Amino acid sequence: MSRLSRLPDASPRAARAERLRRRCHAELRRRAATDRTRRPPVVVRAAVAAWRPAVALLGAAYFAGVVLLALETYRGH
Amino acid sequence: MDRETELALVGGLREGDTDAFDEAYGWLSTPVFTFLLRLSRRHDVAEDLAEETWLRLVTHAGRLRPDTRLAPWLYTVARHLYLSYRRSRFLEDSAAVGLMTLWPYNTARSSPFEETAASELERRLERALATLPVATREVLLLVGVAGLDPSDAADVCGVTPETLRQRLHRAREALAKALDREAALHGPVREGTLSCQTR
Repeated sequence: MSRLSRLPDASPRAARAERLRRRCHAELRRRAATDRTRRPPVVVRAAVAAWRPAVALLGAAYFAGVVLLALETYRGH
Repeated sequence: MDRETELALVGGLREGDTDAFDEAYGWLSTPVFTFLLRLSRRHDVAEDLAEETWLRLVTHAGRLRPDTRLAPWLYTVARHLYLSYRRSRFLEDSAAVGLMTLWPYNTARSSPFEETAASELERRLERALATLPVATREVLLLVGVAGLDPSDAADVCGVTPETLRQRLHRAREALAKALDREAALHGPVREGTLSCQTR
């Protein structure tokens, strides 16, 4: 296995590597620009981030209410 | 590359930072290309697949997880691309073994004698590797050549670490047998001595 790690490396042709690098740069810039324009406003992003905790909170409150109501009904009898 | 630098690179890639891409490309382009070349055994195919691998990285850069490990990620994509290529082209494993004798190398050697012996060993190792089935070869390339941890290599191959260990064990045995066949065909090579063989 130690011999395997010492096997020589190979590289793509320099011109092709450079072309690929430029292409990847262009793609990264294009994506960054697209992301900026497509990014929703702060309020929308905050609402998206908050909806799961809000639903969880409402669910917990509803469950607590049901338990309390059940206890009151049990005590009433 | 240490983990913090790698995480910073991933962060940069997620933000579309071209400097981060350059650093990642400088770090991993040669190993990924070498991996693909040894899998495909064709320079043009390896170049195409390496290009597609890096394009996949930049296409998915915004969706990378912050804790992504770049090397295993790239090797996984490269491997999948190669397997897809192989499926689509019905590539014969034994078709291009002869091409490996053209393998370039640039490792520093201490003397012409050692260089000759080492290059002969390397040529035999390359040929032995090239005769192995892809599933065997890829394990040796990932762990032995690329230096991935066996657990990372298991992720790349989509198997459990235990399965990977078993594959690695079998791959070592297969490589040893292939080297024995090489020795039977071309005679033994002793490191540090000049081989008189010509090809």
